[in-house]
Amino acid sequence: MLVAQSALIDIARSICSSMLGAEIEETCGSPADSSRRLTGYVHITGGSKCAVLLEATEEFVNQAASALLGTPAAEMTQRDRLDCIAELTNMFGGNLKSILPAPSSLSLPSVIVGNRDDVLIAHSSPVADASLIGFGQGFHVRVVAETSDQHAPREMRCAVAVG
Amino acid sequence: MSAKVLVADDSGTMRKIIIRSLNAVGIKDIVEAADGTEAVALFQQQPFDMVLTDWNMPGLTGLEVLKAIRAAGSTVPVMLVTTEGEKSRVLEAVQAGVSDYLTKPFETDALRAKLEKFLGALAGA
Repeated sequence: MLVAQSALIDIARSICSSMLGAEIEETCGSPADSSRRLTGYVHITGGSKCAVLLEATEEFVNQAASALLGTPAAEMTQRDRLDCIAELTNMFGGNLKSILPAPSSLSLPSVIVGNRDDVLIAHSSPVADASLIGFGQGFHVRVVAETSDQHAPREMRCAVAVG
Repeated sequence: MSAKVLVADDSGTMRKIIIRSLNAVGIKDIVEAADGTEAVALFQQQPFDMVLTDWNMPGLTGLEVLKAIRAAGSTVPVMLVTTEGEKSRVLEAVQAGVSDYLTKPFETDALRAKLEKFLGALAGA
């Protein structure tokens, strides 16, 4: 499966611009800080088989939830943040699905408190990554897909590798 | 204009976004459903002037909610607000009798414009 990094960036730009009123920019790799992160993920099954992961700092999600709900960031609860990243992940998955071979189905989103490497999807490896900044905070979109040869060098399996 | 609207979405965030837009066009009588099964149950219990529903939800999907509403003989406007943007999905919804379709992500102005169109049709009915 080939997924272009540019497609992930286009989807991110569309979601952030229309839903959050935020501009985003690309960056090289996630900043190595200790900020707590939330990661949402959805599975695409059918004609295309992959998973889409959205990892963001808690502060990014807080700002995003505030923008979505039109409520001050200081009033956001953990439930607001978890629901927000779930919905953003759902949008990433749905928009990616629309450009992948059909027919495919989208799962409901799941969220963990942790980073993208904490989400283990068996027999899969990354096929596209995009590290981005919005609200002055980092977030990362990753697509993982089933690999026929788990021992193949990663660069042979990846459409794009960032950072 | 008094209209009663059912909003079905498993995301509380998305329900709040939709309700804010409904409030902005003057619709205050809103009932929320957190999944498709609840949406159909609520629809069977009380009359609505419009239904806005997500597609991917636990229990029944938005498409199944739409089909249940049409199977009951109702012509109430039903709008799907969903990430399902493929032509095949839109066609499936049209064949099931959807009244309008909005793909996420969307600008809130786009949702408000569709709601105002609905209100205009309701006033002219």
